[in-house]
This record gives sequence, C-alpha cells and structure tokens, in this order.
Amino acid sequence: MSDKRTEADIVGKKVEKATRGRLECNTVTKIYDPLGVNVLAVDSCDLELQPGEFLAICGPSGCGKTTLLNMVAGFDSVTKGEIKLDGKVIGSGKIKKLSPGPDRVVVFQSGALFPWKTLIENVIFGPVCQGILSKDEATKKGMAYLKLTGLEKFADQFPMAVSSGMQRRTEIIRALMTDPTIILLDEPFRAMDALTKSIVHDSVLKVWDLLKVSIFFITHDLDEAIYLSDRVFIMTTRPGRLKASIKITLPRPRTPDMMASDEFLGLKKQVFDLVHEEAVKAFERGEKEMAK
Amino acid sequence: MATRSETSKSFEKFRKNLISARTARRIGGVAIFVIAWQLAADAGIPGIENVPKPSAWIAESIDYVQTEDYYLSVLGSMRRVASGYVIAAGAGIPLGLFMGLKIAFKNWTFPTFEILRPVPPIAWIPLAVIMFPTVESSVLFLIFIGAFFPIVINTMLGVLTIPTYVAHAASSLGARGKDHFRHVILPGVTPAMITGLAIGMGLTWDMVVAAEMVAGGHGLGYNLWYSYILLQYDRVILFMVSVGAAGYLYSAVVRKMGGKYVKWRQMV
Repeated sequence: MSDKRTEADIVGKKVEKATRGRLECNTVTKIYDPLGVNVLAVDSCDLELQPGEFLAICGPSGCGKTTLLNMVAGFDSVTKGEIKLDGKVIGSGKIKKLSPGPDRVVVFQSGALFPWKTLIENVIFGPVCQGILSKDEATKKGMAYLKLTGLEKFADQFPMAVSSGMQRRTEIIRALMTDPTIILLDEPFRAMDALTKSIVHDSVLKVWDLLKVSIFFITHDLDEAIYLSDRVFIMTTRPGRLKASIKITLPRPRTPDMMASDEFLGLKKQVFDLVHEEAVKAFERGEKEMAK
Repeated sequence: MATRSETSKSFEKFRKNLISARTARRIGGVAIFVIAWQLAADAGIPGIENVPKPSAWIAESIDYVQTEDYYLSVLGSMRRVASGYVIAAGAGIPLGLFMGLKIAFKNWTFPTFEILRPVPPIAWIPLAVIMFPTVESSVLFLIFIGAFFPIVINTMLGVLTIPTYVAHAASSLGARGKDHFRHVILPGVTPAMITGLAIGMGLTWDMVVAAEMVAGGHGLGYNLWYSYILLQYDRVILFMVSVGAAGYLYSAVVRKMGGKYVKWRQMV
C-alpha cells in the first residue's frame, strides 16, 4: 500500500475517534460445576476497557483468561456479576440464555476459518448471513480489506492452501467485516513463527489504527502484549482476578525497533515479574495437588 | 453452464488423461496381474491350476457377453444395487444427521442401532425372505441393509467431529440455526459422509451377490451360482469379473461425485 489516503478509501472510512466499544466487567465470577465439583475459575474480576483501547490480558496458564473471554463473547454463562458493552448488559448472573453476536466477534487460538470456504467466502460470511450487505457489496468490501493486508491474490484459495499467517489475517478481516464494537482475540498468534508474527502484528496495528475498534487480546507472549497494546492487564493464577494493570506508554505508531528500547525493556521486566510471581504460585499449587 | 470453450477444455483434459502416464500405469497393472495369473496356471501351481486360465475363459466368454442373457443379468444387478443404495442413502443420511445433532434422539436410537450394526448383512437373509412378498423387494432390502449402517454411522460421527470453535465462530459472526446447518454442519459432515457412502457402496455388491445366490431369479449373483452348479467354471470367472467391474464403476461414480464436494480438502 502506497499512502494512507488510499487505505482509508478502501475500507470506506477512517475513524478519527473511537466512540464505542466500552467494555465493563463488574465483579464477574465463573464457577464451573463439572460432575458436582465446584471449580472457581474467575473470581470477582473487575475490568474496564475504553472505547478503541487495545487491551492485552496476560496471566499464567489456566488462570481463567479464556473463560473470561468466553463470557464476554457469550459462549459461556456468567455465574455472578455483570458484563456490559456500551452500557448494555450482555452477560450477568441473571441471564441464563447465551447470546454470542457479531458486535463482539472472536478470533480463536486454533484458527476457525471455515475450511470449506475460500478466503473471500469466509470474509463475506458475517455480513451476508446477517443480511447487512448483499453478496456483491460484501465481496467488494472484503476484497478491499484483503488488499489492505496483501491477500487479494489468494481470495479464491481455500484456507488449507495458504500459510497460517495468511489464515490468521483472513480471520481478523472476517471479524472486522461485521463492523464489531469489540474484537476478542484468544491467543491468535500462538503457533506462529517470529517472522510471520511480526507481519501479522503490523497488519493488525494498521487495521486497528484505521478503524479504532476496541480489542481484548489474550496472549502468553509478553513482547507481543507490550508491543501491540495500550495497557496490559495481568491476571492472578486461578481463580483469576485483577493483579495489576500496566499502562504502555510507548508512542504510536509502534515500530519493531522499539522492542529494543529501554522503555520497552523496563516495561517487560515489570510485566514479567508480575506474571512470573503468579506462574510460580500456580506451579506450587500444581505440585501440592499432585502430591495429594 | 458450460460454455463452448469450457467444453473443449474439458474434452482436452479427457484426451490428456486417456493417454497419460497415470492411465498407462493403471492399465499396465491390470495386464501384469492377468499375465501373472496365466503364467501361474501354465506352470501348474497347485490351486491355481484348477482355475480356468485367462486365455481359456476369455475365449469362451467372447460370444456369451454379446447375448441378451448376459446383458440382462448385468443390468439387473446394477439396477438393484442402484435402487437399494439410493434408498439407504436417502434414509441413512438424515438419520445420521439427526443422531449427530440431537443428543436426546441419539440416546433413544443409538443403542438399538449399535446392536443391529454388527449383525453381518447376510444374516438378514432369512428375515428378508419372510418379511417381503416378492424376491425383488427382499433383494432390495438386503442391499439396503448392507449400505445403511456404514452411511448412518459415518454421517453421525461426521457431525460429532466438526470442531466446536468453527461452530462458535459462525455464531460469533451472526449465524442462526439454518445458516449453521447450511454453512457449518452440511459442509463439515460431507467428508465423513462420503466415506460412509463409499464403504456402503462396497457392501451393496457383497449383498446383491449373496441375495441373488439365495433367492435371485436373475442377476450376476444368481448366474454365478447357477454356472457353478452346471460346472461352467469359465462362466463363474466371467461373472466374478463382471461383479468386480460393475463395483469398480459404481465406486468410481461415488468417488467422483464425492470429490466435487470436498475440493477444499485436496488443497493441502
């Protein structure tokens, strides 16, 4: 892509200031009850995400990050507490019926493109399904997005025929096509090599900058969390709740060389210490449980 | 709609396939098998020496394969298999889908199904005879039984192997019930369903031969057995080869039709 103006033209608009996508979680609690054994997965978790904010969630494995995301997405019920999106309650202890929807679309860690649809067919699925756009309109918009991320040549390929990086970019585009208020990313870059990752990161930042959509981003990769986000939210080991919220003050636009700056390394040390503390706790508890 | 250029292109493709190395290897493989058989028979290898040699039965068959008798028995069996198979697919696919999709329905039906499934289809022959008024309908029933079980079980398993996250992704993008069925369930189940259809097709030929041997009246299985009783071993071989060839043709049709719907899997 040559200049910014063209990019904005392609997706129809450049959003100047984010006005929507405020996510609030108030004392959200999740208790799983498999076979009558109560497992407290998330315990009174408070979290607030500003419109257009890029929030990264870090924490040791099994701390309830994905559970929290599933509750926000509407795949899992909330046991206690309340989740609001732009003031509207989307999940609470009182609501039993699950309602996933295109306003808070999810990109999964394992890759969830429809393998039986070509990239462009995947991309247009949301708006066509919801009847927002006709197939032609959606295809036009989808092709524009694919072009923005350098995928237009692969539009008619099936997912299995393209690389994992391309699959993931396509999946993010598919999410954006429904014009969501918030995107939920569940460790989407987990299985990628460093080179592919850095390319996908830049695509994500580019699109995010253009659309100012809120992003709820779960990751284990601290470099990635700091490099991409406005704020890193660190969760405690299970039951998950807020341990610390660290503001990332690096200027935007972000460039890969920032990863070597003192500011970046300082932030990384800070985040690492917090996560490590929880990881050790999780490990010790695991040992104890094994010894029982 | 095929335009003229598409037609000529597909003709070109057909012509290329006809004389390709792949086709040559396939025909060559069959030729080597027949020659090895001939040589083994000529060498007097025990067991094989009692079987009519290719040179003998082929020479004996040339006139017979041109008779109406032969033609009708091939056509008869092919028609029976086609009808029984279509009924099995028509009943088996919806049943498999239901069992995969509705857990309560599966609870009700699956145990009965699983008890009946291991019963070899030929064990149904006595029941088929007493259940149906005509030979034709009992033969059809036996073919149906052969194809039905693998189609149902594979379709059901196909539904269960569709990853949850793909279904979640669809809901997250705003898909409703009927979109789910059309865009997630149906394409997701297709590969397993085609496997079931292919296995079922193989079993239909087992069944048509067994059924015709017992109750047939006409058809390849009946003629195979009848030739044996008359000690016409050349004919026995001819009918065996005919069953094989017809089965190959039918399986190729299933594979070809199935392949159209799972293009996305061959892209790896």
